[in-house]
Amino acid sequence: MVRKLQRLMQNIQMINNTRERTMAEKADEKSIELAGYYANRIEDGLASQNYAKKHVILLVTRNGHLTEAVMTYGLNVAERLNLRLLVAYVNTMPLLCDGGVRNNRFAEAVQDSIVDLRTRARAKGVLVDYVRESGRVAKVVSRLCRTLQSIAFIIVDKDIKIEDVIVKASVPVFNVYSNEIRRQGLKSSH
Amino acid sequence: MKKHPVKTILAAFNNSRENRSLFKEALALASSMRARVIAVSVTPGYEGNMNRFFLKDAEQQLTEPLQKTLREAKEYATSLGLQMSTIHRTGKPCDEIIAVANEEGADLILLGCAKRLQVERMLLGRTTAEVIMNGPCDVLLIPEDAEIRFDKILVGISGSKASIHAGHRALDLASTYGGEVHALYVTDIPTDRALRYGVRSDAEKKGWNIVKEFVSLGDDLDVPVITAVKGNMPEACIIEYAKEKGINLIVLGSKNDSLGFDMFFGSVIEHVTSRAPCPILVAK
Repeated sequence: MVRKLQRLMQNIQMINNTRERTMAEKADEKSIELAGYYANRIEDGLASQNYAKKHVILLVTRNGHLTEAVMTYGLNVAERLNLRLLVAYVNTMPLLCDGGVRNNRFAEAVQDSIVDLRTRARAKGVLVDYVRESGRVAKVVSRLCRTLQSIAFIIVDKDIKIEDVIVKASVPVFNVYSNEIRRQGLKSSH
Repeated sequence: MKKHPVKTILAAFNNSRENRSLFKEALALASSMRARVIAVSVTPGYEGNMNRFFLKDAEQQLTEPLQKTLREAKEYATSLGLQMSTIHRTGKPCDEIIAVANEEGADLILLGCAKRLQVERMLLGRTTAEVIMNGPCDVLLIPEDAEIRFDKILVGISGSKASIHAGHRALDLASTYGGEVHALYVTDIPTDRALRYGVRSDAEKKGWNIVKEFVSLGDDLDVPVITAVKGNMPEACIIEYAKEKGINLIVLGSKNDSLGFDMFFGSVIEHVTSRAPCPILVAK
């Protein structure tokens, strides 16, 4: 009888031990999972920080699409200097009373333009982002300069007065004239 | 003087025109203050029956535009490589905004400026006034298309505890961002008393003494303080002065208790808000 009781006690102890072990193992697994989760979060955070720290070339256009000259120039410079591109498509007439026709066309043009730009950028290994803005170009540039400390310089598209942007920007501003426009300018000056 | 670091900015907006660029300004401000941004949008609680107006899914129809605005705000922040968390609530807007501010430990609440008349405010509700009165932290009101800058800060000084607190906040901002502070004292004397001999000059003398004390505080922090004493309605004086001097930010003190007549005639803050050309910071 005593032996039986002793065996029973031993069995109970064994069961308790295995229970404790499984609990400990489970806790270990949970802590590993948690550690993995936090590691991923930290990695994501660091990646986004690095991404934010990487300097940006800001391309600004008031049309729904970038001109060929600006697109090519921006991509070449970004590739050469290892920078990322940020395109600001500024809708300068957001409150136009036309039943939203202009806004819809603008949005479609932006989509087409960004798809085209991203296809070209992929070949060169350049990161491209875009924002859709509305209002005055100078105000938008001023706000983006305050928001992003990492803007290296700004390239404005044709139809934007560079003088207006320079006043509000905290970084250098350039414009890219295609050879055709330059030739036209030269002709008119002669 | 105690510094007031801003770690969390709560941008509360709806999908109206005035609030179109509010989250963008919040991001710009957060970037300069190294703070995190929380965008909050509140669908007003509706308990009626819209089916009688042949509107199905009324709640969905009220909620969807706000959620879309929040999604757009988040996408905008992501495309700039910045972080922004979004919260959507349903209920009374002012209560929900205050609740979120308390939960998240917000240091600054950003609101859009609805340029309403007093009658409109009485009929449509006074969300801004209630958030200012019951909120746990400072409130920054941004008019449509206004830019947040701290180059020229105007502070209304009246000698009250709240106005002194606002003065401290203005000096703190000016010393951090390298701006200048304009201190304005307004002698608000009723017409019958103003006609009595010596009343106006006494009030002006009292004003100059208060302003002088404030200048000495500015000297301690090496902040340039420009002073003025004017006599008229406080709100009219503040707005005229802001327009005349090209002020970037108006700082006002907030009293925690509201008098009954404020509800019918509006407070100074509400009057300034409805006409101001630049952002207004209400210090608490």
